[in-house]
Amino acid sequence: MGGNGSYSKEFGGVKPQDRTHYETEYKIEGHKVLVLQENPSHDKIIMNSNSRNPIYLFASADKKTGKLTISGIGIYKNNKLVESIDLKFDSNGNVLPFSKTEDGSHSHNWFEVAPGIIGRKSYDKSNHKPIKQKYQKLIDKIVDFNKKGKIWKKRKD
Amino acid sequence: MEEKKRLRNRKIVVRDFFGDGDHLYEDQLGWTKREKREARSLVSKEIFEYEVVTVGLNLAFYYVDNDTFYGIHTESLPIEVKVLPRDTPDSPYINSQCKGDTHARGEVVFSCRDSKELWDGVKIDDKTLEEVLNRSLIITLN
Repeated sequence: MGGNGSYSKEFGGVKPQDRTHYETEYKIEGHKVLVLQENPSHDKIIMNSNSRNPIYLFASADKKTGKLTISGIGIYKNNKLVESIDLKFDSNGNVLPFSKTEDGSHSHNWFEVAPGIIGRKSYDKSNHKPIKQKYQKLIDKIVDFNKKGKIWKKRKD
Repeated sequence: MEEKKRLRNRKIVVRDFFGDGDHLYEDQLGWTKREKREARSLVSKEIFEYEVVTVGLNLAFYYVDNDTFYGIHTESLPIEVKVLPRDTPDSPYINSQCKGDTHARGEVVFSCRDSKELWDGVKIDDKTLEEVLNRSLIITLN
């Protein structure tokens, strides 16, 4: 998957251009905060997980300040992405509610679109869903995290 | 010595794109090795069809030749190819000026009801999507 420590340093570790993400030192409710947008050419959702059923919190880091902003959540079952949550914020950093016009926060389901290929049913309005209530406490903590201005110090491989 | 020669021979397409002295190079344009591996193809159309049509990801990219961010938003119908707004246009670094969020509203340059129409249908400045992506930095696939 390309996360920290997944390759032996003796073999040179994971080259920056091959990384899918970096783990930060932060966790919220035990879920790892990952930086996706370190590689300057990419912000790509992670389709598979090393752990069996994790929840990953996707953040971007301000290039100058290192300030982390979590804007996505990935929910995995049996190492595969099954649900993603896109968080949208207002100017005060508060989460915007679900909106049918796509301006608000929302979730998508992911499943096997072809043998061995995880995808989502694109352009399916029924796959643009409100966020389940059970994630609300986690989202509240994400909002607090974002507002606290946590800084990511990238670990050298 | 060979590494220095290789670095010296890299062609800069946009200076200070990511930061001071952090340029955008020609070899960073187009599909990355990871996308080619995932699609099991080197053919641009096949990679696009894998990532955008089959997996169903939204795609955002920066087209170097006209200094514009574009997004292909596949989450709803019609599928729209749009110019993405620059969220922080005052940033000195182009890469920081646009979040690459294809949900953002922008001028629609093409729309269709089937993602299979995208590859042949999209034209930007009279260039095909393949030509445009070959000259673009892909910033978002999600």
